[in-house]
Amino acid sequence: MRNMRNYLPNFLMIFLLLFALESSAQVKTNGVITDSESGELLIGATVLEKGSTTNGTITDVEGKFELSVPSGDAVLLVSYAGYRSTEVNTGTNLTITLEFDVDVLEEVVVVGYGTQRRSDLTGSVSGVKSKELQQSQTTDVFSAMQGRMAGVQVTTDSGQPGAGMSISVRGQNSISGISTPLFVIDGVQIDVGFDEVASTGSSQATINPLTSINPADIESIEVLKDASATAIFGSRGANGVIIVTTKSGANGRSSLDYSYNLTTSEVIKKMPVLSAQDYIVYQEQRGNNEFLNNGTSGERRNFDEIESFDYQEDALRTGITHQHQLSLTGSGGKSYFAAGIGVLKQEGIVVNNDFDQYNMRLRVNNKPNEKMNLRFNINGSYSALNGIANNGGPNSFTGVTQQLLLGNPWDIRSEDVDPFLNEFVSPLDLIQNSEKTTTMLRVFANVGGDYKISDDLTFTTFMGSNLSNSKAKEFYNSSTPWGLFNNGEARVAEVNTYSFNHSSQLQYNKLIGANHDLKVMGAYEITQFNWEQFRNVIQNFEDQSTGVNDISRGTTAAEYTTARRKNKRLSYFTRLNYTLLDRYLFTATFRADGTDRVASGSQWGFFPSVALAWRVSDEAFMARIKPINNLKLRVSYGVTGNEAIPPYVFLPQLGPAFYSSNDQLIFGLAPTVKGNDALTWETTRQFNAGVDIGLIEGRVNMAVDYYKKITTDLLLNTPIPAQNGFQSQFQNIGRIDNEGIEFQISTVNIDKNNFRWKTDFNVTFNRNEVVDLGDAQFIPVTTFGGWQTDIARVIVGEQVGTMFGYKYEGVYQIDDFTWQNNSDSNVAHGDRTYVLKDEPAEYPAGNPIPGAMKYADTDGNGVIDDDDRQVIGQSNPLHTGGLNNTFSYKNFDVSVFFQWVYGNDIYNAGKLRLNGNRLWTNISQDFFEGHWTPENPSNEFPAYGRVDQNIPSSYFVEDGSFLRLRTVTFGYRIPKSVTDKLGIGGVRVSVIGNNLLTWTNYSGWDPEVNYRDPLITGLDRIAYPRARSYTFSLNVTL
Amino acid sequence: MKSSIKNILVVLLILVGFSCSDYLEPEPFSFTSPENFYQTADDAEIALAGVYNTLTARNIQGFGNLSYYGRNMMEIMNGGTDECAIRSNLTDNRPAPWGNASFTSQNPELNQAWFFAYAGISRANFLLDNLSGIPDSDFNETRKAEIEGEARLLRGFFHMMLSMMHGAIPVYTQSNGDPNQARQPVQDVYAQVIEDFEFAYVNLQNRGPSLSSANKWTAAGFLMKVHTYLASMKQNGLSDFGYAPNSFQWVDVNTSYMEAVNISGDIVSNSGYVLINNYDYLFRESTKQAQSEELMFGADASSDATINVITMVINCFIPQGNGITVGGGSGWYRPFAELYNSYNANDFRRDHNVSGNLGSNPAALNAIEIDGVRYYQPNTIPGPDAFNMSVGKYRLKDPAQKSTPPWASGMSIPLLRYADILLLRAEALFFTGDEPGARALLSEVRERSVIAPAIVGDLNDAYRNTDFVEELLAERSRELCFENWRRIDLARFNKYDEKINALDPAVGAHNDVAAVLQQNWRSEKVWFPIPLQQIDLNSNLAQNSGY
Repeated sequence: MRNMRNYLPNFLMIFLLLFALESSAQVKTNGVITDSESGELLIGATVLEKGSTTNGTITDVEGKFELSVPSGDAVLLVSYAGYRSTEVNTGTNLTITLEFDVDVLEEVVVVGYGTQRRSDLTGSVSGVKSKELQQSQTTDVFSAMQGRMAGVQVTTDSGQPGAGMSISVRGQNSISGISTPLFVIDGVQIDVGFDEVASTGSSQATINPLTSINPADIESIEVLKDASATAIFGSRGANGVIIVTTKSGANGRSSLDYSYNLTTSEVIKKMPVLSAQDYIVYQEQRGNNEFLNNGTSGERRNFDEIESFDYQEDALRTGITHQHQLSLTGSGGKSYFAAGIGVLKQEGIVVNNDFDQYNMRLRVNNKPNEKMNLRFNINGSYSALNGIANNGGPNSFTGVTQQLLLGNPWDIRSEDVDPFLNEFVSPLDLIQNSEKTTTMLRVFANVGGDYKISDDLTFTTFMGSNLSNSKAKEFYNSSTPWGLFNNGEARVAEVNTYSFNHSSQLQYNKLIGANHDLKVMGAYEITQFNWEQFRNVIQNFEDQSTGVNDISRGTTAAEYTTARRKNKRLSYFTRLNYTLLDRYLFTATFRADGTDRVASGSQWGFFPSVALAWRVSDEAFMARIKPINNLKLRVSYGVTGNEAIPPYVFLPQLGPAFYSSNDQLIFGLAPTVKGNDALTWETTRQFNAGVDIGLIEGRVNMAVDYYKKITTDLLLNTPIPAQNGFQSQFQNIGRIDNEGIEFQISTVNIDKNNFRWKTDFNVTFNRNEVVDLGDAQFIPVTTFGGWQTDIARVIVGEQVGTMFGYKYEGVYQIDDFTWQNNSDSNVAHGDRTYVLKDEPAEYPAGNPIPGAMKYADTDGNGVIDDDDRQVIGQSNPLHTGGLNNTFSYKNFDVSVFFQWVYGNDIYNAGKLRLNGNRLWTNISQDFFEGHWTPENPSNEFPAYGRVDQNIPSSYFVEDGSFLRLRTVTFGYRIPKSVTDKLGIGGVRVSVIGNNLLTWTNYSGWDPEVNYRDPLITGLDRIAYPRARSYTFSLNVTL
Repeated sequence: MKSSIKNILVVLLILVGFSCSDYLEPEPFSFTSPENFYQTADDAEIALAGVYNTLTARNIQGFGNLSYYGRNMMEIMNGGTDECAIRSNLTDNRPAPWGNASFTSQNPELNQAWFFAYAGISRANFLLDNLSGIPDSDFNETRKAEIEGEARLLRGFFHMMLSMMHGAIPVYTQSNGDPNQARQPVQDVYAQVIEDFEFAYVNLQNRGPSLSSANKWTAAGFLMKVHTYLASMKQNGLSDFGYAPNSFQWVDVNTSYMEAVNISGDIVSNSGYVLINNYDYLFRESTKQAQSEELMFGADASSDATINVITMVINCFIPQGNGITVGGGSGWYRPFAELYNSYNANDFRRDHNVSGNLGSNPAALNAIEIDGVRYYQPNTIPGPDAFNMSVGKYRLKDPAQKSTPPWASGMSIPLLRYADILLLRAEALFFTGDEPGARALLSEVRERSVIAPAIVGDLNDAYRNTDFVEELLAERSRELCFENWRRIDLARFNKYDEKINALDPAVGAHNDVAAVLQQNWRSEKVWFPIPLQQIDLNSNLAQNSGY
């Protein structure tokens, strides 16, 4: 490496330079340093006399510097974080321009409890920088990560504003409910729990608990993937660690940045369901006389006088989103700071559904003296999701989103219809006559500091706290299906959390001789998490005018609960980094974690890791091989844990179970949790081997990683035989392996004549296998709600997310049967008594008739029975990835970003509904046109009423692969000559399109499906559709 | 510098010391730990209420939805018999598979009912396992033995119902039993059931501490029910369909019927239970006191506004009509014409059990008031061809007078009543050679239902059948229809195939579904399947034939 000191964190540089200023000077040199692209002044850039480690300075607020050097022959070394360093000859009134750095080796990455040069990493770490995140200008930061990092899969639950999402790092290595990575935001570890979002129980809460972070405030996101990087987080590291660092103002620039986004969104596609007129034809075909005829007179309804709807037309809209972000960074004296405010007003694509968010933050650093460095950071946010559209969701079919497709389009509610049959559920009614708001307020803050005890020894201490409050409020008045039978229903819920963590560490850094660089860290950490919930459902409102805002008007308290829990953790950990000859890197970590989440005998767990890296390119023999400027080999092995289970589940528990006598309630208690006194955390052992290669002066950078993860003692709320009185029990069972290859490459294809073309590509292959499940060969997976609840299994030898059921083999045809009078064709179809030819094959729901669904007799015993079920689909993709091309020419830039998922299946449970399993719902156009009739002997679609609702089968399984043109950005920076005249720093305008095109064979609304059960993520029950959006973005720097 | 290191180390040590050992002790807040419970007599009573809760629980451990007698069991046990079926165009609704016999081993309601019954058994066993540890002195008089008796009675009831539905089943008498236990032959099941009922028969009082408590006569009644069940299963020769553990060949018919005669004699002489004058008061929300004079065991519910303990009969078992204005129901289940036609016009039970609908307009309906509680009277129907013919057995009060939502009811679902005891006694007397005594009991049951000026002799004449078993079965249906016993009666008299095939799809307003029922029906379906989810979890469970 050219100069060892280049990569030190900026503040250390400043620290060093303070000494430099004291040295004597003979020749003065001065100048100004600017950005080569924008001409911006670079404040705080470092100017160092080449060959000296002490003689240097930094540029002032006008980008100017002045330095004394021993002679006019001296060469200046100019560097600035994020820019390529350059050497210039001394002189006066120099104008030095720095180019944006493509050499990623020098950047500093944040790792657990510290920072490292990327070139010093021994572990596998992926990252994105703010520049990439800003390209797509999404309203939340994690959807901007989608497809951009190898080994990291981000999927949003639905297209709803603020929707929750799941992030998985290197596949599914846990089968317990929670496999979210650990988030560390500016040093505060955040336990992301969806139960932090209040839910009234009526539907799944879908605010993403991490919306608190404003994308514009992010400096970088690092994802720690292998055990060398994550083992320092011990019992919480197994799912990977995502480290978010916000902008700090450390570069010393004072600036005010304002950005404004105006976005329009609309549904990607309209689902083809029957028009109101076709729906009448359909109901005639099915003979639904209750629909066709008036309930009182028995005569055919006059449909000319009944209102009809096209719900998608009426309830979907073009949503307008405004987003303002203002951020300020600056420095003065011994302090620097960053502050920001963000406001988001987002309209969903369903009427009356909107999402508001406010963010604010402040980050202050202070160096009162050379020994101390103090930090304070506070981040607050408030989000509010409004509108009933977020009801229903993955667990229910009666929500607005589902009813947009399924609702009977004719308004026949004035007739005597049965509300239990959902004969007429208008999503528009639900939208207009209900209210639902979910809010989330979160503040997290930390205070910390370093104290340099000696040149070698630093003490760091840190205290962080995280407070959140979430409320959910709902009201359904009597004119809605949900309020009707309860004479108005109000639901309120509130969740509060408060937690703190504290850690103190000692860091010893020593360069022994020239060849031994030793860094040792030892620390302990203590954390506590508290959670409290309140929930109330009130019904029977004589006066519904005040809705949920005065529940005292309701007289029936249908539900009233409170719950509280607390979790504690205590940890001791250490890390050793040793670098020999500046090219042999060794890292070892060890952590001991104690937690109260598992049984007392197994409270302490130990998590070691070791890693080796060899910077081959620094060997002398590599000097001749010019094209290779970086070659590093890495191997690591380590142990991490996962304790992400609900608290107390290892303890047997009793809960209320009332009975009554003579109308009076009698209080009772009954066992609710079986308990498991052997419960411990699950353990993941991970091996990683990787190579980093840099070619052609850093214009090509790539990394390839192979990993194998073995997770044992899997935590699972295991279904157990109900005959023992319990439905399930948390157990440690079996083993899951994940094996994969990640490949990531960045190239600068062209970089001349003001034109620059850069390509980023990543692909991840992950293969997951359930190796062992203890005594069992499989565990059934039950998804609650819906008609088909047993569609998946965890099976030894298969992947997690495997769908299980009957293999659909088409439709029974008339030729398969005999009937009266030697199958006399003169007997009308409706009068025939059909008998299946050959052996009358037993059939799960009864005796088959023409038009019924036919299943494979897998074991060939002539009977379709329980044993004929088989693997029918797989939730996990074979590979996923992204391709981004960025072109820039002078002040213009264009980026085109594709993302894909390939080889996964989706269990399209919505198809059951859209195939008319319930008489009153609307159906899909293709079922309407293709369903079996004697005249249309389809082998694809069964006859009406013959789509078996209780029998999971491959009929519902579809290929979920897709390729998506996720983002296209076209940007323009107003020339500096213009902005200078206006006296502002810079102006950039851009137009961004998101989700522009999708190539897929999936017939549902959107192939990007994420069912919130890790055992069957590929289940689609008609989720809120994703939007295609266009954003106009304005960024002004003062 | 050295001193500062020392200072830091001291601070570190203090922090570490502060956070040691006790720090990781879990702190429970929102639940009760068993180790702090089952300590006192009060705890035992609370645990006992928890066992009873199973009967009408909304859910258990968050699983199920009124999955036992709160709702689903009634749909499971009454649908698909010759009494009623799902309305023909409602093949897509929750009770449809039960209402037209298209159920499969994967049906979720069946799995839930299985779980609820076993949860009830487990709750009883937890109480029984811990009861002995509570000092005798803590209890009033014989209350400790009574609690044991009630818990064992409930355990016996859950085992009995499981077995009457599925045949051979795993039996549990301890809370920590082997979860992977295989099915035990019906002989073993009933040995345990009888032992539990006999213990309760000996140890319980005439009446329990509350109206809904099981008592000595509940135990006697169920004991008698078991004996008649065993005798009839053997006598009528229902096939075990190739699965030997479901065989009743071991039963001694005469001994069982004699036991039934003896026990029912004790009940008739000593229990104090009677046939109440108003048959309909057995099936109304607000007539619990009257009901309790005949009702020996029920699944209780309350009209408490918290809807903590409710039953839900609105979908299938009350006259069809608007639930919000007149307390009507969905009418998903409809009676077969054969049931209507089995009644004489002078029998009060006909128009009560098979009624017209309620419509939606209160002003257009008659109403009766019972102790200030208003019930709208369903429309009368001319015959079984009336499209508005409904299951009329259960009746909800005027929703305007309810503190619970219209869909919920505070009704206690009858599970064992004195009329049933009399009919079972008639059966036992007949098969032990006393036909006149048996016929006298049929007459006794009919007596209260005669509409004057007709007299009971008119009904006896109308209903007389030289085949006593046919007459008895018909009388059981007339008296006990929609009370969860028809399915079991058809099975134990081996009449299921015959009665289903005899249904005429061409008569009556709702008989069209008979064709579907006949197509779906198979002889093996007299036994419900073992829920597939349970076989998947416990490979020791064998499936019944035909699934």
